[in-house]
Order: sequence, then C-alpha cells, then structure tokens
Amino acid sequence: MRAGCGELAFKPGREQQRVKLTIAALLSLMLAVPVAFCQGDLLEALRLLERLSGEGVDVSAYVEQLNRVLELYRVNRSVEANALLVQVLNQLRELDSQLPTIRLYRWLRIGTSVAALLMIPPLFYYFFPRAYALVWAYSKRNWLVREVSKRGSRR
Amino acid sequence: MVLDDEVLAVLTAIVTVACVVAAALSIPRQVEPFLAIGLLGEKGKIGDYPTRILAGEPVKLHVFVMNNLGRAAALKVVAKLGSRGNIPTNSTPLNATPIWEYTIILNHGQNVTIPVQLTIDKVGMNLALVFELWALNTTSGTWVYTGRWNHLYINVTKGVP
Repeated sequence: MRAGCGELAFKPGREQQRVKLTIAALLSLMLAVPVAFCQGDLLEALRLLERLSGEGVDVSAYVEQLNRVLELYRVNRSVEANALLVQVLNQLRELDSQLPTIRLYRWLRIGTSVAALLMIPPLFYYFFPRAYALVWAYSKRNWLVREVSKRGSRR
Repeated sequence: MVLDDEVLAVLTAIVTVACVVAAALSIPRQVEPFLAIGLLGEKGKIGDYPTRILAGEPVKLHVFVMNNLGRAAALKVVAKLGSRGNIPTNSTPLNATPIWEYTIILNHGQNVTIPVQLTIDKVGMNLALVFELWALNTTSGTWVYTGRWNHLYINVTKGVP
C-alpha cells in the first residue's frame, strides 16, 4: 500500500526512530481501519438482508453478490470485496428505505388476489348459466323451429 | 343438454371449494423454521465415507446446508476433531479448535453443497470428524451454535514415509 507521503528528510538518532514509528503506526491504522469498517458494513448488509427477506422481498441477487464478497475476502482480494460490499450495501439501504411502500404493495397484491379468488364463486353462479345458455343457443343457431300438432304429426 | 339447478349447484360448490383453497394458499403463512446440515461423501452423495485415512493426506467430503428460516441467513460450517463419546450435543458445541471453516449466505429455501478438503495430522482410532452449523446473530454480531451437527468416525493412521 502506498502512503503517498512523498520524500521525508530523516534526522539522525531518536527523531528518526520516532518518524519511523509514526509511519508504522499510520500504516497499521490504514490497514486496520478498512477491515473494521468493512466488517461493520458486512454486518449491516446482512442485517438489512435478513430484514428485507423476512418481509418477503426477493433478495436472491443480493445474496449472490454478498456470497461473492465473502469469496473475494477468502482469496484476499479485499479491495474488490470492499467495493462490491459498499455497492450492495447502498442498494440494500435504498431498498430498506422503500420497505414501507414495498410492504403496502405486497399486502395490497395479496388482498387483491384473495378478493379476486373469493369473487369467482358468486360470479360463476350468476354468469355461468347465462353464458351456457348463450353457447347452447349459438350452437343451435341453424336449427329450424317448426310448429307441430298436438297429436305429433307434421303439418 | 339443459343446465338444471342441481347441476349448477354442484358446479358452484366445486368452484367455491377450489377458490377458497386457492385463497387460503395465497395468504403468506409463518413457515416452520429450521436449518439442516448433512454430510456427503467425496462424490457428493450419501455413502462412501472414508473410515481409514492417512495423517497429513487430504480428506475429501461434501457438506450439504439448507436454510428454511423464512429469511436469509449467514451460516458457518465449522469442522472440529472429537473422539468417540466426545461429540457435540443439541445445545453445546464441541469444545475443540476448528480445523476448517466455511461461511455462506443462504436465502430462505436455498441449499448448497460445499466441497470440503481438509487434512488431519492427529493420529488416532475412533476419532470423530465433526461438522457444526453456526448462524450469525446480526443483532449482536456473534456466531450462535444452531444445535445442528454431523460427525464421522475415522481412524487416522500414520502415512508411509
């Protein structure tokens, strides 16, 4: 990792050692902070993922991406993993902010489908005999109606 | 054929029952939550488990994990080495150092078969190769033992030099 500090003019003796120690401390901080930051991010992403999936939101794409993040961490490609994690986390946060609307639409969809299903029997009872009669009449449209005598003989 | 009232009543009854069943099924219900772990052989099937292995030689197995918690979950499979009588219980994990770990995130209803390749250096008879399933508690950020585990008894012998 490059610190980007440019050239440093070291003074001999104790001060040089102090500068070295400061650089070492800074480098360790630079290495440690992203790890801690990303662990917190990963936990938050998982928490959001859990909540969203519990609400019935389809999170399969995010599950796949977070598994990719874990795989990248496993092969020590943490820079790529962090970038992907931040991307997924932002998407999950956005989705989480829309959760009340998603929940409302979900319940509306369920309510509509249940209402539609429960409306079928009365509609069937009312319309089916009429539709059946219409089809029956249509199928017999070429039939000729003739008056017959009471005795059953044709005129 | 004329549609009389009785035929219409029977047809309406059939339609009513079908619609009520469909409506009941379309309402989301709380699923029975469970997690599952299974141990599979080298070919990813039940059976053909190794019983005698050489110390230091890689052991190839597969672990099947399924999430049916009703939500996505981060799960971890931990392999440990126990012995006969020294295996985990439904409430306590095995008190041993993990020799292999694998973390995965599974959606509700999703399952995965993870290939496992590990090396055992400890020589002994009736050793228990234990695979425990842990789940991440996202509220506390800690791994929690799920009470699900599998074990395989093996005899580990010294390899031919």
